[in-house]
Amino acid sequence: MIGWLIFFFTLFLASLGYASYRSYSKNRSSDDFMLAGSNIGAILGFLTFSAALFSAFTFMGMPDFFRVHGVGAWIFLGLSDALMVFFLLWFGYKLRKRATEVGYKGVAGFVQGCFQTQWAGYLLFLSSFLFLIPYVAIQIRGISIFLDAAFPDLIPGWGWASLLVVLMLVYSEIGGLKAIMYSDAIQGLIMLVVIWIIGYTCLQMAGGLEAGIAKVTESNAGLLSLPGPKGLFSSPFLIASAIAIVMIPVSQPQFTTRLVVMKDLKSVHKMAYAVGFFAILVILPTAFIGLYGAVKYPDSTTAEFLSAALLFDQASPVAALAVVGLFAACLSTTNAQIFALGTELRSLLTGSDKKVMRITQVAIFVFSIIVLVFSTYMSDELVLLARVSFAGTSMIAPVVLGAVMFKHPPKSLLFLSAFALVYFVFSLAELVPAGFAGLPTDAAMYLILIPATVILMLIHHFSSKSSHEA
Amino acid sequence: MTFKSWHLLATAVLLLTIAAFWWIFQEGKIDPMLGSVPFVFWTSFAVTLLIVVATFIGSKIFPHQEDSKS
Repeated sequence: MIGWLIFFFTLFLASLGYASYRSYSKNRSSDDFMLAGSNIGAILGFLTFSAALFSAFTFMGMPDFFRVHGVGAWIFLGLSDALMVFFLLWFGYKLRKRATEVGYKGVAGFVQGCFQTQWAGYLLFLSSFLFLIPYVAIQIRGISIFLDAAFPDLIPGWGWASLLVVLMLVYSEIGGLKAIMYSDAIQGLIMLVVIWIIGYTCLQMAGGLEAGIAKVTESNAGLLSLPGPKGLFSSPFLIASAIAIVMIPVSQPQFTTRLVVMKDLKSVHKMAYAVGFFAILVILPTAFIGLYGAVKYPDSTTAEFLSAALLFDQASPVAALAVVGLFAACLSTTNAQIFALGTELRSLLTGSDKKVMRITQVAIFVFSIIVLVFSTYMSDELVLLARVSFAGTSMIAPVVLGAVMFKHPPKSLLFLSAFALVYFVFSLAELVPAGFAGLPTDAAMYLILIPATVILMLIHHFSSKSSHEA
Repeated sequence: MTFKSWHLLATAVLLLTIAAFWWIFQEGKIDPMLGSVPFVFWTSFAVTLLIVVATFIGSKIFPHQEDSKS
């Protein structure tokens, strides 16, 4: 297997090197570097959006989710992603329209321009920093656990994590956002191929769909219905997850920026449905891997199950491809998020182009180090940690939605989002009650946040209408 | 006509989502199965597919256009 691993890794690294070389330009401006010249077509856009969306947590977390919590995992991610891509049709249009009017260097700078106050930008940056750092760390943690379990004597877990971060820094600093997008395209294709090969093999090893489900019915029938054997997939959990995932393009800057830098609205719309079909294609085989896990490894730990299903039970070339695929999946999501933090910081900076770019590049390096350190202190609940990150960033959604919907958005939305963000963080730290009436924190927060946002927007709409009429 | 079609499509997706979460995805329900696939999986898969197809249709009938990018 080591021979195959070296072969696929060399191929992968060579393609990354080529992507960096193609993207490098000596006389580029900071806009070229950070926003890829804002001229991305539908195919590259769809691949980069998908690769940033589907990461190590899809590859590793979803099979484990199906294995442990059952079929409701499809609603949790598959259905939520479908709703998100439908929402993209409208949101992409509104966002791009406003971005053309006020200019765009990053979401933080964009809302700062729309709300006409620096606090809006700071709030956005704070939210991104607080929740993207753990999200990036999840990816690195995930790949380290897996590779450490797979190759216990090769290098320690932190060694894999460091290798990933160094690689990411090198090619993103050389090629900027364009290099990241090309690498995303490569990763997206690798991921789709690898996950289908493994999914198909796992389905065969489970004895086929019918036999596999029959075995699960005998051993743990709770996996075949809601809320799953551990009761995780309750309606409030699934609805809150769907809202958090639909809000990803609004509240996670790496996606918002990808919508803005696309060539035109038509490309955005093509990208939206392509991501939807891609989501179905990527998530379906994770259900097969989960089914295999439920049949063969019902009581194993996450690391034991994943290293067995993805590596040791596979033929050598497939196992080697899985390692490279996972590494690539992790790399593309990680670099998208860290680079997005750099973009957000840059959008708040003023000064000469050269100075701003230098500060941004140093900041990207610093963010990477923070992530690397953070990843060594995390738990192994990958999907649930990812969900906390989605939910946390969604607290800021009223601010971005207000910015795209109104010419002069109401500042009350800033207070609402700031309050929601602080409460959510405090509830994670167990300083305030988490949720109420039996609802988890995020579901309870949405129960207040959504009606409050609608009311504030309606009041603003009618009051600005009547003041214009007067 | 295009505005009307878009609003109809968006309403249909909204109603389908509400129906799915409130009535279709019921706790403890395994039957009716589709072949050997349990109820929640095949219904949620079908709803997902319908919404992605609606996204494709929506991309064709979306009523607003973009001014040439400045």
